[in-house]
Amino acid sequence: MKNQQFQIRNSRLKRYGAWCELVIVSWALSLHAEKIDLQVYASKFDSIPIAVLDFRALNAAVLTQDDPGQIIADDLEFCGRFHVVRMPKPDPARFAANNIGIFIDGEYAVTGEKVVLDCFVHDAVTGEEVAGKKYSGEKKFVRGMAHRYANFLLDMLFGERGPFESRIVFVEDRGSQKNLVVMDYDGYNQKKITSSGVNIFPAFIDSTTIVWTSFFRGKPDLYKGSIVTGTYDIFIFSRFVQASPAVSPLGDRIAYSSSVGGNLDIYICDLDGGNKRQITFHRAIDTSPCWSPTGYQIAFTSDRSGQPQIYVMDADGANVKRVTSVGKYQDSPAWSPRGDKIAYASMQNGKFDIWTVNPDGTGAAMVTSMPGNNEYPAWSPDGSHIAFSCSQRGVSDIYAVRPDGSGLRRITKSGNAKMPNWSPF
Amino acid sequence: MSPIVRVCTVAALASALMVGGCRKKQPALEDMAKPVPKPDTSFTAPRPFEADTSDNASFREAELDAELMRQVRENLRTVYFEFNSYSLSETSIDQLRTAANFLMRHSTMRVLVEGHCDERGSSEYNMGLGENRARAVKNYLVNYGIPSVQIETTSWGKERPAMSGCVDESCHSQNRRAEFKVLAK
Repeated sequence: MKNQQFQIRNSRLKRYGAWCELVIVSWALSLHAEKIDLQVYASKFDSIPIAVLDFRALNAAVLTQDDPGQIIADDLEFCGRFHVVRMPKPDPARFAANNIGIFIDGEYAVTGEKVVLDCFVHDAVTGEEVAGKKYSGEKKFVRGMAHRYANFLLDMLFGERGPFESRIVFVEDRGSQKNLVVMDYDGYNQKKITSSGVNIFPAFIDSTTIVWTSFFRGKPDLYKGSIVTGTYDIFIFSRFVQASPAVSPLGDRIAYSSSVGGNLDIYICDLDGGNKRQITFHRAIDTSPCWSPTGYQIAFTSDRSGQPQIYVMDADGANVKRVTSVGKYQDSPAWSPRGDKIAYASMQNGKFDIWTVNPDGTGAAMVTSMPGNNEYPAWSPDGSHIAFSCSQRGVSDIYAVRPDGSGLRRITKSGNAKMPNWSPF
Repeated sequence: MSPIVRVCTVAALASALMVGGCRKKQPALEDMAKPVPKPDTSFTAPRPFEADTSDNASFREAELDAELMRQVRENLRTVYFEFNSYSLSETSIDQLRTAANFLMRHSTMRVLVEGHCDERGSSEYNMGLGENRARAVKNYLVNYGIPSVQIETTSWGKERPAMSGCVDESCHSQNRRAEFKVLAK
């Protein structure tokens, strides 16, 4: 798709059956031969210079909190492939000074609880409209509309899916109460999923369903619930421990750790909880399973060497190989969606930091170095970022960073957030 | 019976005994606490036991009267562990002997052993460590002669510390523990 010429059909009406039930009317002007080809244009830059103008309010109601222009600018800035310049209106001198070839603008009309939002890409040289989209829906979904347009831009420029409509679930830690909260990837629209007890190890099954460990029955079992309706039910349970669920990227199986067989070992079951089978049979602690993007392999933590270390095995338990060697205490492996790295938390000198390593055990590299514990890595669905929790002086928040350590961004500000898990697209 | 038949019968019996003797393999964790079960002549088999030991069982603490509560506190005392270890110390073994004798006297009592960890380390791994601590306690008691059905185990990992926000070892050490909860009198 990346090398194909970008085309948009006229007057295409699409309904996206998405979480927030936005009704989107997607339309665009047909491309003429002389118009700018966005993918060819994008391929000329490592970091695309782009201007995002202020969006115009068509009637009296102005969106200050959720200004679509600001949301789109933040999204593009976050993904690290743009040099974003904000300006109130087209300014040819600043376009030239910043080498800007395209700019984004738009307008919106707020009527009661409804919003209609128009977003456009323009050729900065000719001023011509290259592609536009119109969104309409409830006012509370305006952030979702802006995120969707940012995703549309990424698709148009690179032929890739963007992470801007993804969500992050995390644990809000209030000591004896640990509850699950879900939010947009940028920290907005926080919504509590559980309201009591100790709830940990959240993992997305799909973009609207999660599985996690809860102590509702006085012991750890797995529960499954919807982040849309907030309803949940017990899922995998026994008299023993069930912990650390991880959903295969193909969405067909769940790996978890359980002490049914005597101590913690890795188990796998189907998505409905059936067909449970034990994968590791070691007398050491085996836990924290995570899947390779193909679903053929599982990385996990084991203390069979005497200290917790990261191992990789086939999804049937064969071919166990140790991956980590630097450091005495490693846990929380997370396999990148691109397959090339395993992120994990490594404790050295009494503090955790996020590291990455190639699945064959080479190329271990430290990603974070902020003070406090940096732990529980979770990849964004496009593999561009790692979310993690960072604690300083007893205050823990969710951050995101690129795998090379750049682009560090704090996502939560409450000071009691940990254990993030990032939704699929 | 001919001598050959007699030899064959003895051989068959002997091999049957050997196979029978080998089949009962010890679970991996059992050899770790190495208690020497004391022959206890006062022991009598517990009465038939009515408890939900299925997978559907929730672990909820039973309500105890003040006197029983006092006895439980005195006899089923919290056991503490070294960092990243689930070995029972000499002190712990003394405490567990008291606990075992108490449980023998209360043969209908059903208890839960909860394993806990200090707040260092990862949540996932500590779930496993807490489980091993609880099972180390249970294994000692079972080897001592307490019926396995009388003791449930679970792990809270590092999710329910006795002391939170620890910075020094004296504080951390209070979190590395196995606690008893009474599920049924």
